[in-house]
Amino acid sequence: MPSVGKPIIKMDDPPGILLPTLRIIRAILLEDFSGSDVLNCTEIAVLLNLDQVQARHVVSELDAIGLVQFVPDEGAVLKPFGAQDLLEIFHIRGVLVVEATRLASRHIPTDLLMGLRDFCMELIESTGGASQKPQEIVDCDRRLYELVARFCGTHLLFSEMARFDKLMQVVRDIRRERGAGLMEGLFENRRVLDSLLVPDENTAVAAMAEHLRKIARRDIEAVYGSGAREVILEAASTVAL
Amino acid sequence: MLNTFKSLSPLERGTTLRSDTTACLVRAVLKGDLKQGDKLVVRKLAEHLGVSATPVREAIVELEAIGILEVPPNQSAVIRKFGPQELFEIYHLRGLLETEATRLSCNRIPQERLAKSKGEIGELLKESHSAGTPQWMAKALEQDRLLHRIVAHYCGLGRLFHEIGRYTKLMEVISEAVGNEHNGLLQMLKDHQRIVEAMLMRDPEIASRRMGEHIHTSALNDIGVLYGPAAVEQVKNPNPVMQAFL
Repeated sequence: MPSVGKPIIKMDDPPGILLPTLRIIRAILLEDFSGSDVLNCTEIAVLLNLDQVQARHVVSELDAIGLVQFVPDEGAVLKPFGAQDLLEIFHIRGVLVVEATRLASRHIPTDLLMGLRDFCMELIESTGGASQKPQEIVDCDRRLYELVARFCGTHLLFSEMARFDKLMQVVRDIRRERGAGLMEGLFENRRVLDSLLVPDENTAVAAMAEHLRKIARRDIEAVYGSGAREVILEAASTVAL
Repeated sequence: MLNTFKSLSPLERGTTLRSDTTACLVRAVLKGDLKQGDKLVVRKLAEHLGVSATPVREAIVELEAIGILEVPPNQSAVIRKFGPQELFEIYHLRGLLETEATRLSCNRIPQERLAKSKGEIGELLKESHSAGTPQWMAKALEQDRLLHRIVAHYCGLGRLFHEIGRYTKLMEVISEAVGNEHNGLLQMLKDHQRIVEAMLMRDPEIASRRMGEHIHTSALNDIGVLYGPAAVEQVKNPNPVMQAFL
């Protein structure tokens, strides 16, 4: 049975894996690697000062997000990655997060929701807002996803969402550094939290879907610049962005 | 330890080793040859299957992502609990992806392709007196694969297509374990007919909802065949994931 009401616990990464994985994902997003670069485990190990087991784990993480493919006799090869790919990942993750929101609605303990809403309100009301506390603002966003994932009651949905966590962390870092739509995101977070607190499942789902659509647009532009607008507009008719 | 896993026979050369290794491990889990807590040592498993360590490692990543095993830090992969609920969660996830693909592909699949599918499904339903013959079953199974493939192909998102593909192989192994009994195939054809009809009317919402219902029906059918009627009741009540389907 789904463990409704019982949070799902995420397993820790092996020691020393998080930062190197984030560094590589960041390099892929910011186009420091080309689409045909081979990610040889030995080279990664040297580049990032890791042992072979750690380097292999990094490649596995990239594989799970769909950033590499394995080519016989070559090993892990980076797939070409651009605005369209990020948009498609946002879309798939959006389907998962919206469903998790629906399932978690009514099961997230009120004290956790209240705590996050208070945090969100403090940020909204603090003088200077986005410019003063960008890290806290992206943390608020992350904590909201974590809550719905932990209380969705299905391990598989939880782990499918978790596959994208590191990619999303890098995207959030870029959003924070570039100050892209931080306050708007905070207001959207508050709308989702308010609906979850009622609890009003349909409104929470609609608010989360709306937030995900808007944040996808903002983040793709934050990463790829205004040149990505065409990709977003073209996709809008299809994927409801 | 590996010698006790009857369904883990060496793989044939020249096949897609990653997906075959994945399928082989899923088969072993469904047959109960691999149980909760069993450890998978990459080197030993690779030797046993007659492949290199790479496809085994890749299969482990794949199976970890769909929750069949877990890899604690710096330890070997361990098989997780797998029963009716876990199987239901796989169908639920597949349902999410495929209903979305159905919604996206509904207005993209050429009408003539849909009309052809409708005709073929209709023929198979007319021949339902032969349901159970190997020829009829083979055709019905091909129809099943075809519609899901068409939907994924025309969804217009390469990554969604890829994500659905991750579950397709798994579904094939499950359907192999279920044994393709003809009542299930007849129901599948009726479901497909309703989906195709909605697509022919270019109604993405109805087509998508019907796809969800179809996957839900298949989930209950397969859980019933693999684990018995009590397991179907177990996943039904009270289950928010089930409500997601309804």
